[in-house]
Amino acid sequence: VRREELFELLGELDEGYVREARVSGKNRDALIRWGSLAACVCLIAVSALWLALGGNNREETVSPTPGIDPLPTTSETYATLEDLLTHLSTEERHGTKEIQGSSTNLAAESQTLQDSKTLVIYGDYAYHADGELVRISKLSGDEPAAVDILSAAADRLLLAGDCLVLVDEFVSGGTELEEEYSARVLLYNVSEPETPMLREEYVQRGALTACFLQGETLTLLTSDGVCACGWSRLDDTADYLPKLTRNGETVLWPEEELCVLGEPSRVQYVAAVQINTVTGKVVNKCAFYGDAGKVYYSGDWLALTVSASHGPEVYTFSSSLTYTGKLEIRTLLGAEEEYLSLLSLNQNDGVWHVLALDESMERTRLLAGSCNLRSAAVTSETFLWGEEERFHVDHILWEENSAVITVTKLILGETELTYDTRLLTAVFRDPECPIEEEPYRGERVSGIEGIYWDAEPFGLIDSLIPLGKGRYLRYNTLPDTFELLERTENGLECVSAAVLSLPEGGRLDFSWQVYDGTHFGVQTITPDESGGYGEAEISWNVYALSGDTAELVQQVCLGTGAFDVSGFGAAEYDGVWYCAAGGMEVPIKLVW
Amino acid sequence: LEDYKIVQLFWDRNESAIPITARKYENYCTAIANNILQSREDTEECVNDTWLHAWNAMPPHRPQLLSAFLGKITRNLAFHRYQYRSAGRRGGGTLPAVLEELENCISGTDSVEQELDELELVRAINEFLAELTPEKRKVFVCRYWYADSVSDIAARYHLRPGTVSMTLSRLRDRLRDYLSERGFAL
Repeated sequence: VRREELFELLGELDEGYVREARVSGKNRDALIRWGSLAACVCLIAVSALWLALGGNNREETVSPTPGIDPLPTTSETYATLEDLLTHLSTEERHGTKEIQGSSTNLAAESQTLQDSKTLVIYGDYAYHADGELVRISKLSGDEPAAVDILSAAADRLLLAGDCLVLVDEFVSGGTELEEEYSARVLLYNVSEPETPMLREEYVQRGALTACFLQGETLTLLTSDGVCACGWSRLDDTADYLPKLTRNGETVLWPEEELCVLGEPSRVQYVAAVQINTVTGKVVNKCAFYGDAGKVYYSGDWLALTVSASHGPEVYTFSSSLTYTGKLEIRTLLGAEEEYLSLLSLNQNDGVWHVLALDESMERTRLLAGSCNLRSAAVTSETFLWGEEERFHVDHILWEENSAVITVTKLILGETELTYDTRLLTAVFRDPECPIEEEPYRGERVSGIEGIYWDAEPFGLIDSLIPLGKGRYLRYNTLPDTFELLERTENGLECVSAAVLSLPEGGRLDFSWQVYDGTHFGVQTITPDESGGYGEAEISWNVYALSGDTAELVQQVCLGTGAFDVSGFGAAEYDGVWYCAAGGMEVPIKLVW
Repeated sequence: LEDYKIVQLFWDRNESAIPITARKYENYCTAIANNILQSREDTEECVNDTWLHAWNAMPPHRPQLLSAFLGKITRNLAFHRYQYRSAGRRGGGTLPAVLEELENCISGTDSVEQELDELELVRAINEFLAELTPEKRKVFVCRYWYADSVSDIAARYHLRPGTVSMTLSRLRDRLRDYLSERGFAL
């Protein structure tokens, strides 16, 4: 059989499978969600029946074993994993949830594994993860030369000294509802770069949450959700422990290295293992069981958010995975390289507080003590546009009289975002679409969106004025700037900008440079009687620059030349190429 | 219009069957042909031929799944066109990679009994697919029936490309072993 014949033969596959691949179960999440829902319904029905028949009461079943606290167990209800499993075997909601690692606070970004980190450089050699292979190229010489290939799959690569780390996530089995993921870490010695030697192979069950290097210590975080009810893929209590192998040999995961956080509603854990890349040995490991939402980490600490009935909690651990404490917070805003920033709510007066925590997870300062922040001011939100585009404002802090706005994640299509430490000016989408009412809340409004925040007072400070034909004028009060935005093939682009001073009286004419293909000029838009700019007329003006102290540089076109004009002279530019072509003295007062 | 009504139009020799079918399944068939041919012109011709072949096939055929039936016609037409077009040269797009991967499953030697075994072989592959989880089966079918790219499959099922590649690699190995155990020396 030739390969072409096999391809033709595969055309005769069962039509049901052919349709299935296109029609049903478009994503695994949906499958799990609906499967989970169905299972939950069944479970609820069975539980209700069981209770109606006088089944055991919950307290007897789930009460913790008093006096047994073999771990830095943080749960107030479950002293051991067995306690938890006993309870969840009847109470658990079926379903799994992968825990995502934070991508916002990577301590050593250059060495931290990111999705895109598939290429590392070692001396004159490059290692490039390419599907099931890692290609080795020699970089010296005019062109990179492929020298060898490692037959090993890797989603990500890391380099620690002469240790090349390959990290791969793969599906290793499981049932339809609970596919079993595993993460594999391969350590190669690349002291002889063209012939890497495999030193260690670690495989840990669970979805890959994060993997990062701190010095010579590699930390691998995986997460797994394992159902404890009758639908579980696991039969034995021991199976609920993390599963780690080193070179095929099982690495024991003793009870002392388990930690139950809060009151989990299901068996879900984050398994953390730290491997010394020099010796290849496991130096620390710990599994955190709980309804964890997100993991934050740096080289010096690890924090897990856990949902609780009264709001989220944050459990913190040292760099050696030792439990260091629990934080009661209302909302976790985000994390930076140096500190976690948390938002807590004072229940008595409803006042929001913003706290900053340093690397040791100690509260270092109260960023906003008694400030009564508007809810819109302090938030961590993801703004969605359509199905594909989104950006995420990870946290906004209020400090005395100024807001700190940090945009930590940005996935944009035809959008634009500008921000600084004081001001998030605007985000736009298709400017061809007309603006409708209230375009200032980040909501989708006929294809164009704007978010405008300022330090004080918080709220709308910017203006976006549609000028028609894909052209917009954006005015920012801090600093006083205006920008002329035009729709181009590349999206919305700024074609002109200037810094202005607000004149006395408060009304401001907007002016911007234009070039009509032949001449430079200035267009001006004047506010209407009510002070609004929405429908103001656009007119061509003859631009005049006058006054001994005039500093505004303006471009004008005289004849075939273009000039940068200031109060002191003009630099001549070629009208086509805009390159400097000469200079001349010009009168102080120039009227065109 | 429901598929069974469209099929009935074919059986009734009602010529409106073709524009109705085209309206409903043009995108689907175009995607299949384009995966294989990577040529807009060839794809359009191939899809148009699909309606003609469907007209000639119904009756006597009465497909249970019209989409898969049409897709299969498109796939065959596109692949034959691909072979004709790329005779003597290496084509672009996804298909060369798909074929290269399939080479892992075969020895490349012809067998005298090959023709006799083809039906059994297809049946065995279907049995193999039946034993897979739907997730894996879909990944397999997307790659080797629809000739989807790895990145498209990854996007469709929210997987990483590396995971898709790894899954496919393991599925190929498993398929080869599965067939080998059942006496299919490909």
